[in-house]
Amino acid sequence: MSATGIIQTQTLEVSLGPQHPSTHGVFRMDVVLDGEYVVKLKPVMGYLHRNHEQLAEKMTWLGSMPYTDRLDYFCSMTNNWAYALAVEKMTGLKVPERAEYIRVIMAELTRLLNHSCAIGFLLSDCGAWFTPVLYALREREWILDFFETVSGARMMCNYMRFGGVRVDLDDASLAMARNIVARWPAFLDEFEKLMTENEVLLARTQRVGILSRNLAINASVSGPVARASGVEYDIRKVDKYGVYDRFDFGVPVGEAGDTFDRYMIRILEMREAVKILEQALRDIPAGPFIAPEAKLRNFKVPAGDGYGRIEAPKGELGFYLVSEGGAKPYRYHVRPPSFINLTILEDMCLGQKVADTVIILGSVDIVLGEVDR
Amino acid sequence: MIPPLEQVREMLSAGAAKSSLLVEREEAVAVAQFLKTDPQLQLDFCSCVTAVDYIKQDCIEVVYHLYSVALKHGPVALKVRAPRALEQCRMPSLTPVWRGCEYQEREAFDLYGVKFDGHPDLRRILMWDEFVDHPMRKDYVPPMDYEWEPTPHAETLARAKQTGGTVPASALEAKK
Amino acid sequence: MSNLLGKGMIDGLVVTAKNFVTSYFDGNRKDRLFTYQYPEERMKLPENSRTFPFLVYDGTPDQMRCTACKVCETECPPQCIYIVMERDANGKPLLRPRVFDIDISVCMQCGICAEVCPTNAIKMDCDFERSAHGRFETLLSHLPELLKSNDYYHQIKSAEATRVDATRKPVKKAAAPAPVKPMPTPADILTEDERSAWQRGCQSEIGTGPIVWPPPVVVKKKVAGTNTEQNVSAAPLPTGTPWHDSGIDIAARMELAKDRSLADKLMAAMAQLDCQACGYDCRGYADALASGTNSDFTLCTPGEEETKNMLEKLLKEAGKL
Repeated sequence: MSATGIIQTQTLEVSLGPQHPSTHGVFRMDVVLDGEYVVKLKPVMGYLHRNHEQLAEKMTWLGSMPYTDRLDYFCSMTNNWAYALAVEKMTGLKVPERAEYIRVIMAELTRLLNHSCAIGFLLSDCGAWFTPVLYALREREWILDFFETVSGARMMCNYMRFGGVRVDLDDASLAMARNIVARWPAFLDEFEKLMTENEVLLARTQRVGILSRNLAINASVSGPVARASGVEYDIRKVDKYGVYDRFDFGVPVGEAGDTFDRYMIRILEMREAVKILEQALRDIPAGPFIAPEAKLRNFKVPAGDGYGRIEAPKGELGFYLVSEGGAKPYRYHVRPPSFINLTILEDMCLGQKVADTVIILGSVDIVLGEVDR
Repeated sequence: MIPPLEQVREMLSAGAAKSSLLVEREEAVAVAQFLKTDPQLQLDFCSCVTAVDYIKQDCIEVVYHLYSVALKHGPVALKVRAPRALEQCRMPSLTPVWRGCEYQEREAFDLYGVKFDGHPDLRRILMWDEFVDHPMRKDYVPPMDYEWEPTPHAETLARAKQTGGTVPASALEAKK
Repeated sequence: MSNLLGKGMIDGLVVTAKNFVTSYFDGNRKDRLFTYQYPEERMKLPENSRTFPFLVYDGTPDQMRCTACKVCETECPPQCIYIVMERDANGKPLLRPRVFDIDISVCMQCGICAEVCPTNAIKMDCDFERSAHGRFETLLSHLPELLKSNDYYHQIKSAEATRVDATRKPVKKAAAPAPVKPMPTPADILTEDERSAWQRGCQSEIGTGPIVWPPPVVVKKKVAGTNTEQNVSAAPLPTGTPWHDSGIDIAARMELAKDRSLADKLMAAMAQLDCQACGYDCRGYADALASGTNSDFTLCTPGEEETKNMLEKLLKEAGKL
């Protein structure tokens, strides 16, 4: 080791991925190692690139909606919402109140399932091989069943429409949602008892992969990763899109910005999401679930550009759209949170051990469908 | 001679900080630096960077959506234009100002061919390194069938020849 | 953090041990086990669940609801639907598909076709066992296998089908229904040219050539001594919309509307289906075009090229384009 000044070793270049379970998909990290320590790390992506944006430019406005499901395939509901929100901004479509509540319910359930799986897989990366994930997947199954009952598909929901949602929630499905929300705190307690105080987990995650607050802001990091670094920024609070201003919920913020904070922030966010869900399911009003003036066929958007963004479970998900007034978008750009959160991967990994890069990547929580588009 | 940058602030506050700002290429960095550091604007969060190919106006526009984490306002859309021709399609990189532009400018370079001067690591990011064209440009013609393989679906090849699309030479070799 | 090193780990092990033991008791079992012993045991799918589309018919397969209006073909995001309208020997459209193919290897089960269908003809099935031995031909569903009865629809999605039945207005079918005959196989009805035309992605179809269909009823005569033309036929009425019958072909419809206002002429050029593919019924679309509130004359998908060309011609003559 160079630290002792006695043994000098050559650096070693390792390609982590693309076929590696810890990269959560087809993602590669070109790592240069000095002994066990990372001295350089370059992410390589694009293995799943299908030019989603160009496909959308050749399709009607509505036709892109099912394709947004495939961006971040864990969170199709929030992807739908972000796209619908951007289009509604440009057209001025008013969404009925009931539809807004349904959207909040769907988005927060998506947050629950995404965060539970994200920390489950993070723990898998730490070496808790698949036991915690199975606990998370077991609970996620309730939400997926609910999504299937409502929208017809477990993951590719294709549920939101411009000006509302596709299918109304009947009493039976509302009861189903209440049941999920009621059992979630018990699951979180069990999960925390299972893992949070585990000494191995603490040793592996505390003071590993520290991201400073200033760098997080400057590098456009958003979502739980930024909040774990102390950036108090939640688009649900800042933009107040939908009906989020009516709910009472907190924004948990981390202090150290290390991997453990990113784990803990997701647990806390789930607890807040449960609070929002309880309020939304209590207050959901009756009424139409889609705006009466919303059209399916021959939907057109007035010429201009617009940027709509929401707080997706992984961070700020935005859609930048340019319309020429026709039936197809002129430009359709997705601002994917997973992709931009990877900007600081190298900064977090420098000087860490190679085994820690896997954990740090897991704590950023990427989905390659969204990174590569 | 650029007007004093304070005018930018007045223009933006007149539009209640929800406006777009078209900037000459040469002044982009100075304006960006001002927007980031001005105490009343403090646009420290560069959320979204993308390019748009306006083929009729013969320009490529790069759009930066800026927000302020400190003051919780925004967005301000900062737009910079460059001509479409590949050798002139360059503009200063804003990565030194906002680190978050790094990968997104690489993406704009990859898909639109905009060269960002001063970018620390301007390489292709989504397409592979050997790829030659910029696929999001409006005049891009996709090759007929990338993943061609010898299958019973033999019309693929005939189709490609008919329509003038190119089939990778390796695939043709495999066919022989 | 606990004071005793290892307490966190022991707590975790207690949780797993508890789950291990309780999973053997029925009280918790259904909460914890999501697996089914397929194919012996099948889970009941919720009514909304969707796999691939199918076409609904009332009564016999000849009475299909589909009018070949091509709205689904236009809106389908991955473009996996291919429709050719049936025409009789004279080239007159019969408003039902001769070819209706869905490439289920491309279909992504989004259900947009079922949503946009103006006649409730295409619906999403619940059948997920569609594996096949080939990648190409075996995964292409043709009209005979796509057609399923309304009873089947009621069977898989009773609430939705009942709702649809209540809202459905009776759709006027084109010509008298042909006698029940065995469904033609795809090989019979689609020529090689058509198949390759589809695969090239261009949608040409036979039967759109010069149509020989003698204009019936209306005969024009110059009345001596006046400069005005006069209809000597008894059939067209001065008011009403006699052309609003999809059984009449476009040339005859235009004859019927010859001396009418621009809006009436435009309406006669439509496909007369009231399918609302354009967002209006035929009357509404014609009025919108005539008044200029909508200037897009390409919206009448079931009318195909002939309607589009006629609308363009009429609008140009009226100086609206």
